[in-house]
Amino acid sequence: MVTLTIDGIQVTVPPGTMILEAAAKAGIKIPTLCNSKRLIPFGACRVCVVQQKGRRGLMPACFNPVRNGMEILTNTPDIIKARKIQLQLILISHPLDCPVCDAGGQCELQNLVYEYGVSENSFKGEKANLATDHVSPFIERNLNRCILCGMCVRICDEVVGANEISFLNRGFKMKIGTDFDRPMNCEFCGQCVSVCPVGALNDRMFLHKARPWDMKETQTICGYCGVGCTLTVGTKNGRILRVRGDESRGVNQGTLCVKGRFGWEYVHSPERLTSPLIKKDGSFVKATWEEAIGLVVKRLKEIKSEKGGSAIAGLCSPRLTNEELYSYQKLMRGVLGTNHIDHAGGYSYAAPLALRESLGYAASTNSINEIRKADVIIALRSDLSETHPVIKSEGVLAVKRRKAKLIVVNSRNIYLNKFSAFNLLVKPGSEVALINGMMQAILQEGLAKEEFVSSRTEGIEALKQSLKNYSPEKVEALTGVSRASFVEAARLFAKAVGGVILISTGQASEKKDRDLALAASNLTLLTGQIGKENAGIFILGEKNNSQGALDMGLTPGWLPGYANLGNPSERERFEKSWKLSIPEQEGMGALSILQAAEEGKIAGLYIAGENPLVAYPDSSRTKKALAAVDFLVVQDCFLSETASLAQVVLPAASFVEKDGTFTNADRRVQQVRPGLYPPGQARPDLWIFQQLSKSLGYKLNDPSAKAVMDEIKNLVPLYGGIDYARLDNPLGLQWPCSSADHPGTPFLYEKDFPAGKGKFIPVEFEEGPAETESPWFLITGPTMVHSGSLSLMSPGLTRLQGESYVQVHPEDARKLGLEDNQKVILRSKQGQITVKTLVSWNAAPGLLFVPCHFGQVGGNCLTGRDLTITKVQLEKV
Amino acid sequence: MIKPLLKGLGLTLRTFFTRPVTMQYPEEKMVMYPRFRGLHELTRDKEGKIICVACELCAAVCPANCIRVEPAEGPTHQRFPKVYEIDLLRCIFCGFCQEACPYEAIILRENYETANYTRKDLLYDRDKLFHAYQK
Ligand code: SF4
Ligand code: SF4
Ligand code: SF4
Ligand code: SF4
Ligand code: SF4
Ligand code: FES
Repeated sequence: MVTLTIDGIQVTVPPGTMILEAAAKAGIKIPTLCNSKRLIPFGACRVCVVQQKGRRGLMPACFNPVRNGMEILTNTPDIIKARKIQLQLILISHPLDCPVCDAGGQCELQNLVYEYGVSENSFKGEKANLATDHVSPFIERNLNRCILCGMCVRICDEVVGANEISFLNRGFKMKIGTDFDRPMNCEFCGQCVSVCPVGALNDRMFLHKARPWDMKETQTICGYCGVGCTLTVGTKNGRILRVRGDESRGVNQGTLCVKGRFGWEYVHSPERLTSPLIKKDGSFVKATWEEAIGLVVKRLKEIKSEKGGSAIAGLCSPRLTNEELYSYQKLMRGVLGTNHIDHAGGYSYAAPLALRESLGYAASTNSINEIRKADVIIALRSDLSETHPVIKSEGVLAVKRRKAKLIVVNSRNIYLNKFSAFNLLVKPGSEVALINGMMQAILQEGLAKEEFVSSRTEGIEALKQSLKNYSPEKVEALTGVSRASFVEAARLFAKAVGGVILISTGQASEKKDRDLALAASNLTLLTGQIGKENAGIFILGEKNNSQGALDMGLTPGWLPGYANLGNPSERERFEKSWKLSIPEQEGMGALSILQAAEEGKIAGLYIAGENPLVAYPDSSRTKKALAAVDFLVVQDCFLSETASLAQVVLPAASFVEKDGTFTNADRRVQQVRPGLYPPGQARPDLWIFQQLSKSLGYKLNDPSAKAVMDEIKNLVPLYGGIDYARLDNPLGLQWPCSSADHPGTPFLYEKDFPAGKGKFIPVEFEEGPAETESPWFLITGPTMVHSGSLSLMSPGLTRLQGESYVQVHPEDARKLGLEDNQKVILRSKQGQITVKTLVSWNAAPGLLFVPCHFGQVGGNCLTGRDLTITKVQLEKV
Repeated sequence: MIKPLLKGLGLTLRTFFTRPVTMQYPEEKMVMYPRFRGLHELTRDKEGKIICVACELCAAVCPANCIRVEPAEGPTHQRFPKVYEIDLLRCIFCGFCQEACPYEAIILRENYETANYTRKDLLYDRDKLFHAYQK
């Protein structure tokens, strides 16, 4: 530790700390214009100058590290004069058009000019006169106000990795721009906007909307993906005006993606449902809540008494809060008497459950912010820049700052390869074979962590036995990856101090999720990359509360907290507490529910927030199934494709209109806080469940979300110490958190595994179906701009990407004589769609990619329910 | 006792021959000093366009909190006041808004005849303030 005095105050800080941070610790504010704790110090602005006693001259505090015994002065007349001169130099070309500048009121330059009383300028020069960019989506660039601090350039490089903008020209002509000054065409994550200390880069949606002091800002959690970024939502007069990230809060530390920052428009969409709807003679009429709930209750009661509870089923979206999900399954199981409930098509949770089998907990093992400190990162079938952009930033930080090695295992040439040391381009679906091959190589080279394996795991013999079939030659043939590269990748991972495996899951992931997670778990156990910091496996859920849905028992076979439904004593525990009875036999999963519906066995289906027609594979069969249900209730923010088939539609609140908690991909329970009231008659899902239950004659729980969490914590040991008072902190709480004084668990299995030892569960690679006459492999998945079908209701996002497409590799395109943007027909066993081509090097030869978002022209029209690898035919129109 | 009475009568007599101060309002109207702070006007530039850029400084400084400004983006991406509202019932005519305005876009002028019948009539919106002194 280093001790120094700053303005007479003594501080002790770790070596390597910059004077600026040490001063902050001493409570002394040094002005800065080019420093952010997210970035490497740069030293462009020189307003942070300080003086060291006994030394001549001034030095910038932001990039000078502390030394023992230093005596620093931060506020002498010399320093003030120097700062003033710096500001005057900036103001030579600066327009000072504060009244029309959106930064006004929160502009660092404005604040400093005011603080230092810079009222005149003895330096004379021309004012900058550059054209403002009004063309780029989401971002307005007024470079006249730019002070060339370089923070935008640096964050786009250091954190985002997009390198979209850089310094152009030299000297007086220097400016920030894109190549050839074209409009921006990047990820539109808006990180550059968020660091710009002045009004040069602005949020286009916030342009000329309000002053910062007009707005109420609410800290809440993003409602799109499983990263669980903290959003600061600025509202005024009942409307969202701006969303930003706050450097000091959340796992994202201010970083957001385009959906989180700019994708909120759907909240104010004119198509939001504002009153309950009841279908009469084939068309919807508005109804009151009493009428709608009355009808739902009457019909469900009829069905229950005529055909029993098992004729009722429910599908719920993992976008709901924990409290809502818990109450939903309580309503379905206890009050309506059915275990037929599921979420996200039943696809998304095979991977976490597999980890539960082998390790003990059905979740990621470590914390998201540890990824940036890892040495070797394997992105296993994870197109992170598209599915979880903020996790991609963690990877970028590891690669760029710590020279970590990124190993990409994917069947496409995904964008992430820009940062990878190894691009292991596998044949579709053969990732498991590759991991097995890596393990075999590790065993053969004696790189396994013998000590860890012998003391903390079991089943190594069976694993060794099964791995015998995975000689490098064979794996090379199975996966198409050269032996040299995956063996080298395996060596790297085995030798890493911190090795991380990232697996993203979702509705579009193949059924191989379980195998993939088990293979990953075997690999980490074999190399001892688990139970320590900066290592482990991450299962990245597709939706904001994918983890919570699993924790809250939104599956046919698991009660909240992974209590086994088949175990009478577990069931009794819930029955006693609820004073209800839960049916004994395990329910059906989402696909079986649809299957049963098709066969006429499901008379009542209650869908909350899901849109199976778009999100589930084999859309045409899903449609048939939904049409065969006697009584379909859909609860949603919009009249979705699914909702339009319903008999009753209940209007739900969006994530900014309710309170509750989400659990993100690193088991972090975080509080969602309302910034708005729901529009019209729309109500939070929790309220709807409670009203329904009340009308069915049972009080579900006390009305507030907080009370429901108190109920959850008594029944779910993992959440035992979680209550709202404790959640009111910038980072939430990570389960397992068993009691009120448990600090939460940043990484799992430090001392032991819940079952004592970690289990090796060998997985065999199964080859896909034999070649058919359809020559093309089809992969479907999410894109960066969209999430499910919800984001399609945000016009800004659809302007960026509004239609479906098929991604084709340039070589294939040349062979077929296809051009970019040409219409083609894709045909599979399940259906056909007509889409435009997008010729891109990110595809791989022989492989097509179609996004899964776009209803009637999305990938889900082509894929089958079993989600084995789909093959399609391609025809030109 | 008689003394104060005479003193009073003396004053009466003296003022009896001076010019009366009472004005026959509304037939006669007082001409205000140039720096009088009466009803506001949203001023115009040479082309007759509104000068205000909706910077909200007037609203921020107003001690009575009676100015509401809602900026918006105009067709040439300029900033303009979509809403500019002064609640005259609450305004204390301090003139701070005029002082805060960087463009002299709002000034308090000579008109003091703002009485009206309903509260709503005293909620002056942008157009009313813009045309407040137009004949
Ligand atoms: S960037 Fe800051 S100082 Fe410059 S015009 Fe905008 S508010 Fe004023
Ligand atoms: S929006 Fe994101 S990707 Fe685009 S330039 Fe800014 S920081 Fe870079
Ligand atoms: S645009 Fe903003 S962040 Fe970028 S260099 Fe200029 S002032 Fe700095
Ligand atoms: S969508 Fe995911 S990565 Fe993007 S801001 Fe939301 S939580 Fe973060
Ligand atoms: S009147 Fe002046 S101070 Fe008020 S908003 Fe308009 S320009 Fe700004
Ligand atoms: S903050 Fe130190 S040089 Fe800019």
